[in-house]
Amino acid sequence: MAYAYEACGEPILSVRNLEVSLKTSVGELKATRGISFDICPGETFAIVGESGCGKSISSMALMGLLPRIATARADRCVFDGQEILNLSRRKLSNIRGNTLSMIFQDPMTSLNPVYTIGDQLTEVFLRHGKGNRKQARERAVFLLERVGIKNAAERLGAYPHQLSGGLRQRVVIAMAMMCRPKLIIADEPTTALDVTVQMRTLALLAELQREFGLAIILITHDLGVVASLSDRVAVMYAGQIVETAPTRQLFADPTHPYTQGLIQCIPSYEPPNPDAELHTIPGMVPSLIGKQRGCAFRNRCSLAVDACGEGDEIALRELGEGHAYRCLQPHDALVANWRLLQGESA
Amino acid sequence: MSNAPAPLDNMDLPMPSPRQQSWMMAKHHVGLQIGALIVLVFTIWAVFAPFLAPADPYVQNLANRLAPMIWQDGGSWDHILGTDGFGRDLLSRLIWGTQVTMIVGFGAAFISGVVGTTLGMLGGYLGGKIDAAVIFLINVKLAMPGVLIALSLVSIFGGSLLSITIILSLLFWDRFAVVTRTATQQVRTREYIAAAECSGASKAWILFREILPNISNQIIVIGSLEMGIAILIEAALSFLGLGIQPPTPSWGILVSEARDTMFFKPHLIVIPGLAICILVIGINLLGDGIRDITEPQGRN
Repeated sequence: MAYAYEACGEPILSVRNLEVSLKTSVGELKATRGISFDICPGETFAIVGESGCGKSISSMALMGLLPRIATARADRCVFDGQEILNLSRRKLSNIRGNTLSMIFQDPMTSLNPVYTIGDQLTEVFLRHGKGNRKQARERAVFLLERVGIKNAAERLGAYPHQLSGGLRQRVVIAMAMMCRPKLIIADEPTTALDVTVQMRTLALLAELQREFGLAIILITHDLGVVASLSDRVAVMYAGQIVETAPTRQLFADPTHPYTQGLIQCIPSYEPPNPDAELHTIPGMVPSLIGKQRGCAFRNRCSLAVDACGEGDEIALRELGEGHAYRCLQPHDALVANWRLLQGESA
Repeated sequence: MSNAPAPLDNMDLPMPSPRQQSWMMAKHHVGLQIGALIVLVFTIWAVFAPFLAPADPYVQNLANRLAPMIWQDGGSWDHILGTDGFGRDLLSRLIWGTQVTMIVGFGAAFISGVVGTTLGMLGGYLGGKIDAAVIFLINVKLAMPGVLIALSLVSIFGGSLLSITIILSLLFWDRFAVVTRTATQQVRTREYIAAAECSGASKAWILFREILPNISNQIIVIGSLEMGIAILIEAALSFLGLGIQPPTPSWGILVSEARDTMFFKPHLIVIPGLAICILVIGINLLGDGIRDITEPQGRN
């Protein structure tokens, strides 16, 4: 089963049933409940969802950055032919920053203020024994130029506070690329940037990806970013992937009621009704503490029936071509619901 | 969306490098300049004491006891600040005393800084049981009456320069530990620490290359404070007769020796007292100034 996860023959990252739980004072919090996906070489896989749905913590689990109170387990979590979950720190150090690297959300705090960007760029390269100081410098200059920074050789001596936010994020991207990674996890890479800079940064990421053939896991809550950059999307809700599909397919045929709601929430500027109210999804995300039953979205769902609250979890239903959703309703009913919503907003 | 990113033009932001910035701030920082001047003068005294002191600080001349200062009646150029109760040249003893005082002050601040910073950073970064152990040690230290312990230790190990320095450093590490532990906890949550972990950095690298430079200015401030306090406590111990032992000319000893004559030769007690006071103020001004000009940029 689970055809929908398998997008290609030889995935660079293959995750099955990733569960992250946090010990809190009021009980065990299941941050993710069995996440599965494959990432093919050279593709962009977006994970979308609102705050607290578990998208960031699953990337932290992959990078081995979980806080002390969190534990992760998975049936399989293979990156580049190697099991990476709960790997020893030493073995993980050989992978992190090398073939697997990460771009953080806030470029203001993801560069150390006491070192020049040249120091920080070459450091990664030297740490993984990719060459000598001179080669590290050359690679740093090459990448800085590649990410669109003029006078790169001079800029190596600059400190982070001398650069603007957009430039810093470019430096962070260049830093992630220093060791020719196969996969970059980008955790909300543009959230902290101005909208004008956002698009340029995304375009840069897409271009670098084409040029160097790397895969990207893009974690975001912004469907606009998803639409412009990703090949495939997983929509997460309350620690589960509720729908996964190729990006085009997801926007053309959003199936899960939550996905439909999310897309509905994107403001439209087009006529015929520019004064229409902004859409929201009513209700709150349920507490993730303790055992969950049935569909986590049922309390906010207009299509919910009694059966939605039964059983451990709702099974994933295949629609073919890598499209699957986690809902009891048949596809026809959901499509009808989407038409209804569309008509309502028009 | 398909456009390649154009090179940005706002590259040459008119932001000075940290070194230029520190220098610019130092030029307008009066406190820093005064402090630096005071510390510099005393350091020169300490280093070049053998050349600067006009007389041997140990040679007694009982025929010339309690000689007046140069501007008082009967003063002479032989003894600019006069002589003490044993006829020793006060200026020479003051200059040699600078050496003892600064070695004790700097040594105690340095050793306690290394011990306290190491403990504080380990506790703050690693957390968990190690942090609990560090907190326990700090609490034990805070619960102990410091000066009493110092007195008893000095009476056991004697009042040599080395033992006084080590005993004083045992008194002061806790403040370094408390401050660096908190500062480390703050810095640890920054994304550049996670980014360093993500790029395969070891724990030792993160502690000493990523975190330490970012908390170094706090350490400098504590260090200057503790150096001042160490000098004061050394003087107090010497005054009580349990510090550096006479005839070694520490400033505390000078004050202590002048006790008998303080009512009719007050300058003998005032001058070393003033020296202690000025040096401690100078060190504190310097420490504050260095903190002001070395604040890492872009942290907030």
